[in-house]
Amino acid sequence: MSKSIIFGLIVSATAVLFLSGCGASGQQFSQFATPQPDKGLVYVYRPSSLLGAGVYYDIHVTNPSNPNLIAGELVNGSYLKIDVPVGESEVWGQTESKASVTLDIKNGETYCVKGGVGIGFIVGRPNLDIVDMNTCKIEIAETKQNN
Amino acid sequence: MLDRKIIYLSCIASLFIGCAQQNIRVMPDINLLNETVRPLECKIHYDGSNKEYLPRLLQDSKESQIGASYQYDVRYINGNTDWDGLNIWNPLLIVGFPMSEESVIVEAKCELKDKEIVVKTFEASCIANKTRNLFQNSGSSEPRKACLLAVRDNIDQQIKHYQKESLHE
Repeated sequence: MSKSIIFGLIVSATAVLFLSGCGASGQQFSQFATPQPDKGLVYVYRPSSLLGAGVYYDIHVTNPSNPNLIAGELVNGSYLKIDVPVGESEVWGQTESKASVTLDIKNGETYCVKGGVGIGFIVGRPNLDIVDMNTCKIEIAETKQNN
Repeated sequence: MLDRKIIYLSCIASLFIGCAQQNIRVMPDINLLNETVRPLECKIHYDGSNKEYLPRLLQDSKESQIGASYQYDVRYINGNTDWDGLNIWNPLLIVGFPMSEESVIVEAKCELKDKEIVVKTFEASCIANKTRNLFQNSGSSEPRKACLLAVRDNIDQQIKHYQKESLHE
């Protein structure tokens, strides 16, 4: 085996070991919880992907009662469960640029936001989308809790 | 030689400048009336939390026999990052080549009721398209707000026309 192949294998193995530490270590998603009284529940999840696997970002929630709540880190293959008061809330993440979605939270309702990572100049950028519950149920099942 | 490269790159960049913009279309098309009219006094039924999105020509009055219900629906057509693995090899990204497109669709409806009978309905819809490229990130907060304000203004104009026609009758 040539030296360049051995070098390539070592680099690949190191990268795999390095990135394996970036995933979520919490409990696997089992079912949606019941929202607290006078609140809504927001799940932000990020399906596992090789692209941008090592990039993670904080999920912030901004609303009149809390101008900047940091809900947790959205790492590859993870989900966050956030209790949010009724009313408009902005859910956002930022690396070199910001991505945000706005939800009008109703009492007792559950919402899903799908996160991802897209191309950026220096580092991957957050990508956030509001998704319907049917899509969410399928995709969130593969993720683990991270808050 | 370098000058020529700069000219070529500038030409290519100018081709994609339009791609970075967010565009909004509101329906129906309506002639703008600049004259001021009195707000409609009515009992407002609105289940949204942000009063900013309510038409400004609806004024809440508990005593009024006229009721007005305002509701809107927001739908999203999401772009995705699935092709970013290939996009990374696209040299045109540096001049703003679009990577994905997403849309926000808002449909709003305002019903005026007299003793539970609908006497007039105003409807407006808006679609906002936004492309993601190296200079502009994704996110639906901005287009959502822009569309909700656009349908509000459109319905305000419709109410103005309605009031003007009512005065002439």
